[in-house]
Amino acid sequence: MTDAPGVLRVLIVDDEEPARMAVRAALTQIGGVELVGECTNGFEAVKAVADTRPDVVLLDVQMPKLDGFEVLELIERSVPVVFVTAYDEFALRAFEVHAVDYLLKPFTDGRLAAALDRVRQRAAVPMPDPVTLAAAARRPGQVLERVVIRDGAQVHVLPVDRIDYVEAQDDYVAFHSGGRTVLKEQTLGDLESRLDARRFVRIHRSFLLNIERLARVELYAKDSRLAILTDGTKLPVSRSGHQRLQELL
Amino acid sequence: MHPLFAGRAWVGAHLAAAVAAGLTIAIVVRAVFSFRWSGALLLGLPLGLLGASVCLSAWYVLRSASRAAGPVRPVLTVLLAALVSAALWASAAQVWWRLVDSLGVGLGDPLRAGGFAVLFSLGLAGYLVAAAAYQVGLTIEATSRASRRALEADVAQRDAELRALRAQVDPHFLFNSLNSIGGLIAADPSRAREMCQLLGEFLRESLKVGSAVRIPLAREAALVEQYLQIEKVRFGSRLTVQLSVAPETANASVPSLLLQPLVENAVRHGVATLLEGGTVALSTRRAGNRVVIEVLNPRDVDSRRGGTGFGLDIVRRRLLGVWGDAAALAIESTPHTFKASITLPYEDHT
Repeated sequence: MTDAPGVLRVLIVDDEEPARMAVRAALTQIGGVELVGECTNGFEAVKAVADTRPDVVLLDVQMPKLDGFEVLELIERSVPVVFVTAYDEFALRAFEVHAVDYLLKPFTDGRLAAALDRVRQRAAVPMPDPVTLAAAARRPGQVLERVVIRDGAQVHVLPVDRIDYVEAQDDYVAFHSGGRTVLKEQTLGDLESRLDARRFVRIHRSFLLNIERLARVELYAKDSRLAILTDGTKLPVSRSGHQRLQELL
Repeated sequence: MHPLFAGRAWVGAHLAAAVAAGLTIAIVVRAVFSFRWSGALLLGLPLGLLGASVCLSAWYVLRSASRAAGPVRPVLTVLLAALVSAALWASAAQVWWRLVDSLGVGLGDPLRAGGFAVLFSLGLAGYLVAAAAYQVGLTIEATSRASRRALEADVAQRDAELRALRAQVDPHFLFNSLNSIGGLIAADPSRAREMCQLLGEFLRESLKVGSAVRIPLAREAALVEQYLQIEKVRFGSRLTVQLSVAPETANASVPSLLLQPLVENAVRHGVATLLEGGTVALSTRRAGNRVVIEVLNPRDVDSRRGGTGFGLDIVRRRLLGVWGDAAALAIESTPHTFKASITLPYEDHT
């Protein structure tokens, strides 16, 4: 994994230049590391992780477009991440769900060295599922406002109100939005629990519907209903799904 | 303290009551016993004065009786006091009657049929009337004391709230600034020095200003500028600042650090959410006898979720605490911009 034994290949991700300088300066003091890149936003980070395969990512949480947790969802799950943030509430949650470590800005050289030691010790242990990690790291009760999806080298950011419906497909969920479809490795149940329950309703074991897209519900056989969406799409509605729909409407 | 000692007006009121009681006695004994006016008045007026003096005690009786729970004991206590006082007074009245009679005004023997009964009834009635009057006074006093206490509690509550709401500088701002300085020291010492100086100035000024309740708007705007200068070091070319304080608003009185939560939001939930950054614009203008202060910033279309609204809530409640409905905070948001506008009455800072 590393060029020389003990040398850690580090990727720095932070949108603020002085903050990157701070990490760089601390790494220089500590030694035993190789800087493989610096990224100023989440998109760059996702690409850089794929390209350079670092041993550890020092990841800022609050960044434009893609925040640290979203980056975590999109990168290889074998890459260890250390969160770097001034907001301890984010970091504490990340730590509780087994992020390798977190650093609170401003941090000491000693603290960074300790975090890198933890990474070395953990090198053999696989990281937990990033989606679970990121999900658990969010504020309890906080609903998802946008979904991030990696499609090859591309990253899609999909605001939830642009989602028409979501369909379960084996280990993936398919997001249908304005006639386009993107796949993400996630379970429908996990997604459902993170979306606003007043906007998204599970109408069927395999379908999660954005309530604003619903035109009407049609009965076509005994106990069998179809949801007709505003664009004409027809989706099956199960009996319990119909019940949930009734409650919401 | 007895209301008799509460002021000259109260002494007058008591004297007037004593004279009224005397006249009442005179009228009653004249009617019952067919006295002449001279005799009735000679008998009644001094007895009225004596009766009024006895009735002064009713206030103490009422006050101590009213501490008992329930209505039964106070009423019984007052009745008992009335009976005893009336009996004592009626006995004294008989002595006076005899004395006046000895002057030869033709009152006759006070011990004749009905004499004591009439005097006793008058005494009892007088005492009860006095007790009732005092009760009314005590009730009014208690009510006004209660409402005054409620008012004082309200004022204290609001004061405490304002104190708690007085905007504090976000501690994360300090952490991020220190982190930036740490990073700049090796790579760009002159910028590190600049940031130290800016930060020092801003902290000193915000502490100074934070202890004042109100400051002129120009000073508040200068503080905002200092704050944004520091954030500019952090965000580099991503953050630009535009300040325009209309001269006719410079001396408007505003609560200190009122704008701090708004500019913190403008950076954190605005410019910081954009890859390419943007401009935070503060502008003020005068509209008649009102001042309008606007903080405008761009924001990312996809991160509509700003903060928790806590900062806006603080601003709103501080405005409410100072001006009530006369000041307001309005929010205007489009997918790409966010504008907070404060409207408040113009008051010259003195």
